[in-house]
Amino acid sequence: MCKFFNSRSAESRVATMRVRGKALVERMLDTSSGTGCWTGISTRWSLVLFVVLGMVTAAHAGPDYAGDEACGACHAGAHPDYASTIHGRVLKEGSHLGELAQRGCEACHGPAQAHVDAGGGKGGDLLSFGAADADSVERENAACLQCHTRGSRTHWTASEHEAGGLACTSCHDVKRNRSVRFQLRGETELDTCRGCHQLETAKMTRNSHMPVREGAMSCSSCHQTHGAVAESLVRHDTVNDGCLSCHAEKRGPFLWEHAPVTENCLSCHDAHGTVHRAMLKVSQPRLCQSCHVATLHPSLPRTSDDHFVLSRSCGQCHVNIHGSNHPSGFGFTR
Amino acid sequence: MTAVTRRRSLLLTAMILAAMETASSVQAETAVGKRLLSGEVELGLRAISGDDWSSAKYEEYREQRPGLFGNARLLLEDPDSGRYLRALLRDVGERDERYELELGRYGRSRLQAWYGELPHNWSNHGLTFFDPGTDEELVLGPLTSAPLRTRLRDGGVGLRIRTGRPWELEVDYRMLERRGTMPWSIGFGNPGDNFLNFARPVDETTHEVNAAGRWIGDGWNLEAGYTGSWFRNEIDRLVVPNFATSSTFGLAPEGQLSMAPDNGAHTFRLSGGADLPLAFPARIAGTVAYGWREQDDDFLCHTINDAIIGSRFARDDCPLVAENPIAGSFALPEDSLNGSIDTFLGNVVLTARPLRPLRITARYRIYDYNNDTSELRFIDHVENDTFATVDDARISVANSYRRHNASVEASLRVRKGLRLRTTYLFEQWERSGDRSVRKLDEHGGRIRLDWRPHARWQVRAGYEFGVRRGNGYDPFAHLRETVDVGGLSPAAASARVFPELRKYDQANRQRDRFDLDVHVSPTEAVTLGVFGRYEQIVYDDSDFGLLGDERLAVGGDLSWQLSDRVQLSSWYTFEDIKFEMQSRFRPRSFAAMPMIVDVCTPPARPDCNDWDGLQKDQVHNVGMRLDVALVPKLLDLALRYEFQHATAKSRADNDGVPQGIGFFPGTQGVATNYPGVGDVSHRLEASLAYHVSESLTTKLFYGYERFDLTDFRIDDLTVFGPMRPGETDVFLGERIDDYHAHIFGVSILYRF
Repeated sequence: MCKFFNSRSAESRVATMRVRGKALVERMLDTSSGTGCWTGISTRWSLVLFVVLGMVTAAHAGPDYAGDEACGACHAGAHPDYASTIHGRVLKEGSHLGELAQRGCEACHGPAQAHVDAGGGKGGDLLSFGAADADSVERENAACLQCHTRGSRTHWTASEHEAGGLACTSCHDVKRNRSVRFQLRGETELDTCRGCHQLETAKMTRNSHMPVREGAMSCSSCHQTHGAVAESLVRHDTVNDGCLSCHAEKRGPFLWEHAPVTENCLSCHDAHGTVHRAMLKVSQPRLCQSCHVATLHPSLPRTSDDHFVLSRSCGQCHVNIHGSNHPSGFGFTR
Repeated sequence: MTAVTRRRSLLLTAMILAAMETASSVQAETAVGKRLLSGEVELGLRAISGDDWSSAKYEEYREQRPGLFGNARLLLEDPDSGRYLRALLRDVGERDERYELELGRYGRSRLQAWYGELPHNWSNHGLTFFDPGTDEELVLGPLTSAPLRTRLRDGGVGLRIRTGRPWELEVDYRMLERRGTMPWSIGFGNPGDNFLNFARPVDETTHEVNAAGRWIGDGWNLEAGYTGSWFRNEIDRLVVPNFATSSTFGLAPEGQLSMAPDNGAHTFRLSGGADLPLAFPARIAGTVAYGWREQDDDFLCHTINDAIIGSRFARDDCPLVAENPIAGSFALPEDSLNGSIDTFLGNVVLTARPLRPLRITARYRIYDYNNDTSELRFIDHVENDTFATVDDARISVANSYRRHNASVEASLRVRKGLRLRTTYLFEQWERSGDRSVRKLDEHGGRIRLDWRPHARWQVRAGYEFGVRRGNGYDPFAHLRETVDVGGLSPAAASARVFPELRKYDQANRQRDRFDLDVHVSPTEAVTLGVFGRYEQIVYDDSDFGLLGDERLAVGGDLSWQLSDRVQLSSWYTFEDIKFEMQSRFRPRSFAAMPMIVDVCTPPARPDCNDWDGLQKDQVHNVGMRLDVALVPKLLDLALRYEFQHATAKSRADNDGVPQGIGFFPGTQGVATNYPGVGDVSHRLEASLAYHVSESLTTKLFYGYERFDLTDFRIDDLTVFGPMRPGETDVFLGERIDDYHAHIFGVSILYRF
């Protein structure tokens, strides 16, 4: 049953939720499990809902929130670290964040009076945040989105993580401070992301890598896991914009542009790490020779003791390969 | 005592005093007045032994040396008002230190400031004959050690103010400063000989400002933002003396390199989302962003080589064409680029659920990169400060492109726990006329299955494919835009361009990708996961260039809570990467016209000078973590171990016996395998924590690190490299040492 319709003042509650932006998410909920608030329904179903709503409203004449004390009566000690988390600090009676936050446990788990009346267990249709399927995940995520609707969450709906059925609690553990910030499931972002992205996190340890393992960067330095407009949840408008935010010396515009550079840094680099210098996907000179077969010296296969191969290979002459502003720099050598 | 050591000691002393003062007045998360203090302060001593731990690799992105170290993390909260003050101090006084200070009110406001440093060490073995004379001019000197490291300083402040509803304001400023020296080089020969490696001074600063306002209404939200970034390089150019002016090619006594020019970028962005008033749940979200980039640094002159410029102009005062239109004058068409690029991003996502089990999502994205920079025509140029080429005009090209992405996805809940997602994918590149393919379309599809038969089972499987086709490959397009083709014979033009080449970023291709990811939790205590990924890209219309890119990755992880006191997790991944390419050795003769000639004529095979290359990387990664409460609440053991074994092989074969003439004899076309490159690394961290009291913990720490690198490119490199007859190159010899290090540490940790 929809938890927002089983209260004594369902209409006023819905109105309140709308003010909070809750309605954005609520309308996306699925009723297939019998728990959603799917409002875009046919007349027939509207009638059924109306009747059921009336019955439920009549049946629940009293307050449907039980209060934190009632929760504590059975669940005291279940989450000993919770009180010291941000949620523990602000989701409580008298919270400065308003009515919803003042519901305490029920702000996230939903009104618990029915659960209490049912003697606990699975009665009362509380959110337990242990969803087994994507539809229940939506409902759980909606609880988080009651408050966390801003900023990057604009692009959460239909983002790769959301569409893939990822729950907020897949990455966040609101019951304890396992990580220093953001209440992640792992001690660090790397630990958290490793759960699904093993290959990418393994690449961070390769000989040529970004300083993620060293703690100077994190996955979220480049990725916005809550939704983004670029591919692979890159937090900037484009992959290049992300790279250029720290490597602005490569931004140009240059007098002589190396065309692939302006399009995608990942044409030549793998930002997660490689076994080749400068995180190149392939070592030089072969990387350059993948495109430059044409004139003169690039067409030579070269032996391993060739000075074109040693050290930084092609990069020894073509030092300004990301672009040159020198009048005679069309070969990126100046 | 160095300045750094003194600074670290002072900071640590201050931390100790502060901790003692605080410790004497508070207990673990005990009220300080009406407030709560939590967090921890750690002070310790570190010792290191082992071979060559001074290797640059050991401290590539950190400082970890013998001596004192300190970390602190403190949070002071007022539980009634939700106000807080947070401080983070990491690696105090070291070169990878970081400090953060944040105060605010949960969910309402936040003011933060941070400062951090990050070293980047390339090598500790660089040797150079070039001393930094001034910031912009190197001078020849005796062979000395060349530091090859930069230090990045990152600092900033940020403010966020949020009302209950409906608006929020966020603004931050960040400054990145990078200083030090890094490997760089200059070539005087053409092509490529007589190149000199040196330590290049780096002095760059980037300022960035972000501002955003957000509004939230009934069923909609809106965000307006601005990002500004300014890059400043204190070193505009670098003058490098030629170490070997007496060589065949080393005619230039010195050369001048341009450094990255100052530039700026600005982006205005508007994002929003809204529920749609339809009979079924539907939502639309989108972003539009307009930006521009600008760069207007003064041009350098073509050369500073007096033998070329003679008395025509002063080194720092090159004439403009308008002032001196005579060929050979090396006049510049403009004194700066006045470069300007406009970018536009549009992104819209529409998602709807017309039926209960069905969700439809449509996306469209356009990114327009419009380079408005004027194309400049340079009548003459100078090759590597060594010789002049007169009347061979080069025209700078302002590359522009537009990228469209669209997709439609249907996500169907087949039954509870089983969801099927099918997606149609489309990508289109429109490129400016200097690129070989002006329009490139890729159509593809993706199917994904997400099966959760039980809360403890999850299976994800996916297949994605794509077919990319262009509207014709014009190999001469770039040549036509950049040189005066009218002055070239067809044979001369084809000598500059290999018409059968297909560059992989524009080539037709087919790609396939399979994914499988299974996570099983047979019990509450155990989670087992396996994954597999196979991806293949075939450039099916390419005879030369990159032909294929194939990747296989498999792995697994195990997380096991053996008991209340023991937790184990481990993982393994393996990746196999292959790149296949095809090339052709093109011999050259000064005697023939055109200089590049095809000598593979019958009876020799026509493809006798073809050669193919195969790059193959294989990497194994193993990781393990073990946490044991040896004596509950008294003695904890933590183990972390990571292992990596990586190999990179580069194979090359000739398709026939290479034939050559003149300047490049056939032996130059012999393709050979390169020695294998690889590395092995171990990293073990073990700590034993003894909880003296609820607040006080002492930790013993042991770390073992080992790194072995085999890379023929740098392993035996000396200043003069493996010099062969006629070569006059100077290297830095920047090898990366293997190392193994034992790190011992003891620390006291006070937890509030």
